[in-house]
Amino acid sequence: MSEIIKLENVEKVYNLGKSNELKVLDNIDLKIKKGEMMSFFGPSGSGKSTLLHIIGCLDRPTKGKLFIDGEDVSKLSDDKLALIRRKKMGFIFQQFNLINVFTALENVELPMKVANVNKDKSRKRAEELLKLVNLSERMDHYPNELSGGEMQRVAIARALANDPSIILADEPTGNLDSKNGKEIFDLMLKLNSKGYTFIIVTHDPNIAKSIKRRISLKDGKIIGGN
Amino acid sequence: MVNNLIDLAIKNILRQKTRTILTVVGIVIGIAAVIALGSISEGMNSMMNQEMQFLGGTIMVSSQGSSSLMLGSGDSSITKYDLQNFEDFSGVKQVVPYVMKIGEITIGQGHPVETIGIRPEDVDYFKSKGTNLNSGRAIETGDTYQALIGYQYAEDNGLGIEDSIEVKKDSYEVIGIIEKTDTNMDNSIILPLETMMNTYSMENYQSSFIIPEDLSKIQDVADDLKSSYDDFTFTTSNDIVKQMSRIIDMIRFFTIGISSIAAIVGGLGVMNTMIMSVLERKREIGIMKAIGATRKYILTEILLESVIISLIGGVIGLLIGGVGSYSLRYVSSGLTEAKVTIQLAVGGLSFAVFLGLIGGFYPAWSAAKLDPIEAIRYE
Repeated sequence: MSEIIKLENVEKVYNLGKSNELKVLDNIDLKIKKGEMMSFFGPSGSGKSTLLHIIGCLDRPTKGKLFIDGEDVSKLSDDKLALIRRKKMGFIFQQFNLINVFTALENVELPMKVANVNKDKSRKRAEELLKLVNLSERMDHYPNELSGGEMQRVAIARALANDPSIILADEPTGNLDSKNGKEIFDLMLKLNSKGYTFIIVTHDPNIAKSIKRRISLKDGKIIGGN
Repeated sequence: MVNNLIDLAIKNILRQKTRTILTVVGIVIGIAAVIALGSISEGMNSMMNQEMQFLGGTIMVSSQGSSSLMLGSGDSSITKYDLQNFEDFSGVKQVVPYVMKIGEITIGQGHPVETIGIRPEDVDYFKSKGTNLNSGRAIETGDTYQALIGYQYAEDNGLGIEDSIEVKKDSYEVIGIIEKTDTNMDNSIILPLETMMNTYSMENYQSSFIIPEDLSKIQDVADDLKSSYDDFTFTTSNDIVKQMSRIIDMIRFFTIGISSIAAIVGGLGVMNTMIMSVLERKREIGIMKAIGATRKYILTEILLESVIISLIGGVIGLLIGGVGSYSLRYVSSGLTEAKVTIQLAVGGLSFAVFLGLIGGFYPAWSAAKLDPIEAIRYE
């Protein structure tokens, strides 16, 4: 399997050069293969979310290099990074982050709207994706009419909208009870088996245990796994 | 992309309906004021152009102290003797005396009618100034209780040739209808000068046109007349154009200028609304960025929202302003011929769009440059 993500000596420092300078990532080297499922595991403040944001092109490393599909993206402009996110990344958040005034279907359509996919096509794909996550019956419901598990499934469908190769999940089960959490996790396993690369940030040892590859972080450094 | 963006912008606008409506109302008031008040100066401008076509190449004489701008407002103080003097004055080709009464008769909702008395022998002069008959015949020597009427007056009262009208309890036969001129002439009654002077017990002429022999020397003739007769005011059409233009410019400045302030306040309302809207949607904007929206996308979407809001306000404002301008005509009893010109309408709408762009730019820009991570964490 080929490398889809490669980090070389990545460092992230907040408030660089100021008195409250804070190094949240230090000397991170990492390679992730296409189709892999892996977890970033560690306590809060370990830098795992920041690492996820950098890989997801929501943030830039202060130092070091990030390659996505062999392309060095660490110095790209905001808009170039937005285009990479649009094409290659799908995000799943702990807080679901659906847009409340849009229905489940409209939420899933949104990334395609942004990518200027035509209306009929994006409607059709959004319906298929909601069927894939078992929410065909609830397409026209608004987020506040859905349970936490259902909202997260909508979020997963949304993450898949533009058929990205990498899915980044930040504590995806953190706001769910164990039954719903397991369902979401099983869904992610199923999608991983279809070839999507998954990076899951978690502090839940049970989740981390069930994922083959685990990177443990502490104080911004990788302390275990590979 | 445009379709998708418009969809999204409209959806966002409809989220806070009350606020959107209030913001639109702000723009509506501003643009309606610009259109309604602006139409006054536009109307005056076009009225002046029409009148000037009529007055071109003549010197108007009126008694000292009466405003040269308000034809027929002065006392009737030009005697037959004065008139003869003007006629004999060097460089003068012809004098055309007249008397005029405004508002003695009204039609519709108090719309004043001008009653004008002219000499039958001067009919050719008026014809040469482009005043022609729509039907019937002109006043001829020997006519007494015969009248010409304006196009609008005939229309409004359903009058035709051989019908009779009443002026000061005397009955006149309509012998001709003047074609549409878009000036006050449309609402006028033209009577033979002698009859009118008798009817109103006038001894003197109210005013007179003086036509110079050489049109290029009109100013010299006017100056000579001025130095010879202190009791009268002599005004050339050039003087009037100058004075009127100055007044119209002032009116334009005040009407459009001051109503623009109302519109700008409306624009501030748009800015306020968009700032609120961006603040409320900060997290959503973060999400939009995470799913791949570029700065330009966010900027365009939010600008589109504010432009749509102000354009809707502009269109409604244009309609209301148009109605307002129309009713101004009635309130002012036809003294202001308020007119919504295409330039004014296009100007009003462009101003609305401009306000939307200006009002929306700061909020759109601040949304576009939000840091997605920070924005997503925002509660």
